Amino acid sequence: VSATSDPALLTIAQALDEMRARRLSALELTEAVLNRIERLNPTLNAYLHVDHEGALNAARTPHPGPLSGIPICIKDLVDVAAMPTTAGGKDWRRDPHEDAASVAKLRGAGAIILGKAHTNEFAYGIDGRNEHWGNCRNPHDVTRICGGSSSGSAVATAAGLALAGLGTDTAGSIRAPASLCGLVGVRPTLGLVSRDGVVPLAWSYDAVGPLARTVKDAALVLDVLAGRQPTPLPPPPRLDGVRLGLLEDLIEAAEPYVESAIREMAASLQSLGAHVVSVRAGLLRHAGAIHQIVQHVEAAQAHRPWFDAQRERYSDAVRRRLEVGRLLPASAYLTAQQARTLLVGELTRAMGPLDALLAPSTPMVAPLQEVEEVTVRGARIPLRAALLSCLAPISQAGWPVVAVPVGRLLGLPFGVQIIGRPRSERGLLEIAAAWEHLFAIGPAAL
Amino acid sequence: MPGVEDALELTASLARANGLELSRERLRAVAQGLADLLEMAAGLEELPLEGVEPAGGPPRWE
Repeated sequence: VSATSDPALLTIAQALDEMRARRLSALELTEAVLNRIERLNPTLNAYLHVDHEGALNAARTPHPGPLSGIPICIKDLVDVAAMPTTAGGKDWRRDPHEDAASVAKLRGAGAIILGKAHTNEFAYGIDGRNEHWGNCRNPHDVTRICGGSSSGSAVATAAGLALAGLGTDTAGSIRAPASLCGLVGVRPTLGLVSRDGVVPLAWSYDAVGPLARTVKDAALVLDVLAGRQPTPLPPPPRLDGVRLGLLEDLIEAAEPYVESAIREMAASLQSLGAHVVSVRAGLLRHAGAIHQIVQHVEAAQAHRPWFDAQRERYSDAVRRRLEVGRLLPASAYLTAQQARTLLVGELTRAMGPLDALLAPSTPMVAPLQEVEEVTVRGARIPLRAALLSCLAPISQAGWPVVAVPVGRLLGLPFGVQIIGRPRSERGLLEIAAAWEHLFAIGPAAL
Repeated sequence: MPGVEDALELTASLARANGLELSRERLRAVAQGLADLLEMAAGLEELPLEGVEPAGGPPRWE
């Protein structure tokens, strides 16, 4: 299906151009997306709740703004007024009267809110699977996982069931599905986008950000979320004077085809004028331990208000993590936070005079839905550990990351993280735009 | 560092103190998880942490 025959497959920038030229109305665009949801959501399971009538009503008289008439989906961890928030939990529900601050920004910019998107249970997962609500499926191959926990927002965006999605990222929940679904995902600097109205998972990691099909679209949605006047990215693609570091510890831990793709990307960026060097941060070997300890404890505390009354409703895996986190001594948590200080210091030194670091998003392409272990570099690794291996380490710093597609294997996409200093999103997006100019991932199979 | 068997008693005691009722099967699963994290914490204690402020500490105003 071409974008010209199905408006649902237009990028945001294309749709805005079409609407400005009066060749397309917000109502026609929203109807096209809703039709696609009706046709494909039974297969993909990207939405837990669709507000068909609300979306059509909003599209009839769209609010003016930089996203006027653009249909967007919201991860069901984030409050939307008059829609249920389930957080992907079993029989856990709140009915907010107000939008989360991030959703209010999108609505204020004219976005049409389509509904609530699939998530791992309470966002405490990285694979897009959910035993209460069913698994979300990868539009590039529905037998494979899509990554999570912003699974529905990613799948909807990749498959034309929304033009962009709102996600959250604690240990990698925007970047993992962006990688496995072939999207652009932005984990903003911690604190840049409000978390008000979002069900928390781990306070020292949680970030809210966009998933989009292009860098330009992601930049526009991020500007809106951050409350900034949207400014178009300059035309790519020269990168003269830009200094990039290959984060070798993580690149060498990924499958060889991922490593090759990132090195080829680096060579391409060099041809545009960038200077590329290799950097290492040996303390990254401790990142998994730091992350596990901190997230267990913070998640247990975040769930404490309702956990005792509702613990039988959780899946075994999530309940066990919350129980372990509740019992872990404070000394372990503080030891991990001390080690985190050392790790962030080392990453800061690795960044040194550089503008950005490059590292894999996921060490491999999307595995099959039923898989619990994967092989990476010849070693069998639990799926969860593998998916987190390149993402959770970067969450430790609270730095911004723009995740973009970097390659395909057997038609399945995989991504790269472009990591920068706090509040350097703009520069990262410009690097991403230059890369996107050279490498387009193409649409999902559906 | 406690293995799962050693962690069972610790876990049962901590669970009682925290008001968590755990069946025998669940107690064992939680004890395993606790033992794993305590082992990770012990590994981190090998780092030069003396005098290091935990992340998430006071804001820096400079």
